[in-house]
Amino acid sequence: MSGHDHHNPADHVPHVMPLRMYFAIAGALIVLTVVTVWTAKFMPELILEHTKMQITPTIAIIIAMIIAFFKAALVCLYFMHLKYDSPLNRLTFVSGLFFLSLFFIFTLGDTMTRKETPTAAQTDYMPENFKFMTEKPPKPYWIPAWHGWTDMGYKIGAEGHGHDHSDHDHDHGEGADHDHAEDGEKEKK
Amino acid sequence: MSEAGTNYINHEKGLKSWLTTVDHKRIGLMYLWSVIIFLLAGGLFALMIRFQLAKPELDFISKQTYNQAFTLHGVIMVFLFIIPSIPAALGNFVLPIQVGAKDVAFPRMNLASFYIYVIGALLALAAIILPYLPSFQEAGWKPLDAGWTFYAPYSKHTQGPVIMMTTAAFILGFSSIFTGLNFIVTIHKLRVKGMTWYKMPLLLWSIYATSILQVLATPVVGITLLLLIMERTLDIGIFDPALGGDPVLFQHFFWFYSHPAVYIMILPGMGVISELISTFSKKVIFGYNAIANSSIAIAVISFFVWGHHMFLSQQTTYSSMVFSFLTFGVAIPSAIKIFNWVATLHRGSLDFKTPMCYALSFLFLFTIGGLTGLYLGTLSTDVMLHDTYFVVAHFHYVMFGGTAIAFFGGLHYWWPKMYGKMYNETVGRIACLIIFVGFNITFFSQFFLGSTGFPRRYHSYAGDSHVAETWRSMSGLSTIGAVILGIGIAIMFINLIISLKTGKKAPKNPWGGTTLEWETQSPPVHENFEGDVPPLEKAPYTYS
Amino acid sequence: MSTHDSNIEVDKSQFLERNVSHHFETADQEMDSCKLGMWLFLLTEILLFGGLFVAYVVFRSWHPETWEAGAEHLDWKMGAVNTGILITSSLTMALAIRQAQLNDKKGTVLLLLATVILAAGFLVVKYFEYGHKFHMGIFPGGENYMFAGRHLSNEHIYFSIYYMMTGLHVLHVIFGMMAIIWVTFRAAKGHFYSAYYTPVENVGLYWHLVDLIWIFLFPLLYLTK
Repeated sequence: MSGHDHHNPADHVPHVMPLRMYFAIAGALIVLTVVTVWTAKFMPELILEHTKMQITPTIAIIIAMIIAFFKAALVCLYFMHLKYDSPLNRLTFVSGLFFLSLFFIFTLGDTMTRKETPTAAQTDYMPENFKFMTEKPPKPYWIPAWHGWTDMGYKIGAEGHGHDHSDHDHDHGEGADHDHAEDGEKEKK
Repeated sequence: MSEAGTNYINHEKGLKSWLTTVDHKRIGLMYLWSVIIFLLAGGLFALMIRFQLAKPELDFISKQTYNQAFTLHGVIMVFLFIIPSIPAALGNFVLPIQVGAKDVAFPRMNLASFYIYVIGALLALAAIILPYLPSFQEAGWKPLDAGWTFYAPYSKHTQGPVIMMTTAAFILGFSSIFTGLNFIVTIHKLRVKGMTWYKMPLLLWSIYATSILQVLATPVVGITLLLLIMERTLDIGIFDPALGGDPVLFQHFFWFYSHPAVYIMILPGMGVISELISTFSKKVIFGYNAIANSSIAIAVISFFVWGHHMFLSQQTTYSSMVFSFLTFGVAIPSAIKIFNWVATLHRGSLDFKTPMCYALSFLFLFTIGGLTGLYLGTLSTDVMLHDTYFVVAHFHYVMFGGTAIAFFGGLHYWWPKMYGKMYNETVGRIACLIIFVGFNITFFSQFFLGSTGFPRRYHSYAGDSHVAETWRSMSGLSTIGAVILGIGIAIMFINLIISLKTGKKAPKNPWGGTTLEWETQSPPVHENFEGDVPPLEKAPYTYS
Repeated sequence: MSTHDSNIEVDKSQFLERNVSHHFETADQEMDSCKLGMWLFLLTEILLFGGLFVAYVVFRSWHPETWEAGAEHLDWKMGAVNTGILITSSLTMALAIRQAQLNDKKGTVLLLLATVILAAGFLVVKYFEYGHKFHMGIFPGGENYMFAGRHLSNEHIYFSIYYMMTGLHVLHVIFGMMAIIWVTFRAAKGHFYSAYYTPVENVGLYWHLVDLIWIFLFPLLYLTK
């Protein structure tokens, strides 16, 4: 039995990053957040005005994801110290992304090549709450809006979609959730 | 200097010292006895299934009970026995010693891992027992009958302790993750000086690959189970077609974990076999690099192939074709290992001790299992064989004939190291023979059942169909084999337990192994080695 | 096993000197191991949330218009505020680690507390968000989805995924807060100094991951036009 009583104090020497760097990264993250919001909310109109090109939500989300990856890279490399750490930690993180991407690729490979997409169907065990969705919609009505919400700027009810839905009529197979006439920006994948 | 006779077992006495230990060896033993108990429990359910199917149109147990039997047989064997068996029980004991360290990287996390396993196991037991209590029966609970795969939407609608069991599996997942995490860090950071990656014993390579799988894949089953729980309680509608969800998506989620899970099961077994074959052939392992690299290859490729469990699930044909093609890829590294092991045997000085008998059984049984997997990976043949007993036979050959046999072999190999006692060799070898014979009778007959269309998970079968003769004879044979198998396993365990009382004292190195654990006393001292471990000089498996 | 006196000067009046655990040889080996362990744990979190992201993409690809309609009920301004809160909390967390590295006990504790307060702020904003939805009748789950206005037939799935993703994230924020509070207590007792600040660093890594996940959640859920 090793009877030695070793007294081995911690003697790690830390790698300290300069203070400026922290604020610079945080600032960059905020700026990139603003950019993300701008590209999603305000840029499409600008682009439509000037170039007649329509940024669909799909394209917008891809742009947003690219920006998000840059933000993530900043957080990982600097806040999480990956840049100055052992390569093994970097490899660990990146390998997670690699295997996650396999999950995406193969699952989407199946789901995006389906001929029929699942939608709520009329079955024996359809909840009561849902049966109305397969009937003709009743006259639209508005939930009583507490004035406080609208004062704060929230939109209540379906005022956002002031147009015809044909989706309540048929809920099975394709044909459900078809395009609504919304500024011609509907682009079915 | 140690006083004569102190080792990790008598280092500290008393129940409390065991329950609060952070010694990896003690934790390994606690895991060992837990998994053995669950092996026997799962085996009981298996016998129930086999007795029900012994003859056509039998009513040995009710349909309800039968559904419960195959569900619980699966859940117990997969989550409570096989996945922890070699890594947590044998690996916990052997790995730090083989690496030349005093303990794993995070000893307290190791103990936490064990307690998480116990909590998960107790919750699972509750899920098994509670439906039989009158108050639960009045509430409409049936015993679990969704199969260990818990496919939606049936698992959403069935009345029973689904949430309890999925929570138990979720908790067990944490145990698995923490064990894997611990082993990865130990292997990376705590290797003795001189032990480079390609000088590690092959058991470490396989446990490393296993641990990667545990860390990467288990969280996905975690989120799957969480989503299932939410589906049941809140009706979120992701997997339920009535609400617009997709049941096939559940299968994607489930099998993304469960296919790597089967490699979590087999890889440690392969590592054990590498050790056994080399030691008992007194020969350096043939193709060390190939075996080491193929372990990692199996781990990586296993993430590409999960869809081969879903060929008949209405996933698109393109998907099925891709998965089928990739499945052939995952067979290659396993085959490489078999070639290398057989080549190691060639011109070796074979010593047919009990562990070697198990190792040779493994070679035979795993090869059959692997080859029959090819029929299932081939899209066109799988269409006939899916959900038949062919699949059952295949996975029992690889999981039982592979992992469990390797577990038994490893148990016999390291038993003298763990307890310092030698068991009776003759009885051990006889038990191995009985297990081998019983296993083949049980499961080889099931290939014939499967290829004639005998479905899985069916309570009973007709006695008058055109295949009835085959079914009657093969099913009956299978049941007889199961009984023989049970007897063999019982003899094996009784032999081991008796050795604790009456076995001869074990020397340091009873088998002539060359890895580090054989250089310390049997049983090891509390700190694994007396004094510092000298830097490693020779490559592993050098016998001269 | 070498025994040696540390070459680091520890101010014993403020800090508790720590010895390396007996199964490690050097402090660096211990810290590297602990960090690697934490990264492996973060890996599992990535895979855990990854599953939810896969579900999101799958259903969005099937019902893109439902996603756009559903997102109209989310207030992107609140989401942006939350993003700002989390980024700032990441900053304070990173700075707290820095102060621990510099033997600044007070700074460490204050910055950790700031992180907790910001995290609480995140939860407050979330409370308002969820409250607003419950008021409108949008509850998690099909049976409970009682939004009284017109809605597309699969919108409940959008909200199920929304609640699952943000709910799991909120749970992790709460776990993170508990961990940070625990570490703050230890820091106040002087456990962390330049040679040993591993728990602060590991909790920091966890917290940055929570921020990372939100960085992806925000555009995916809130910024669909």
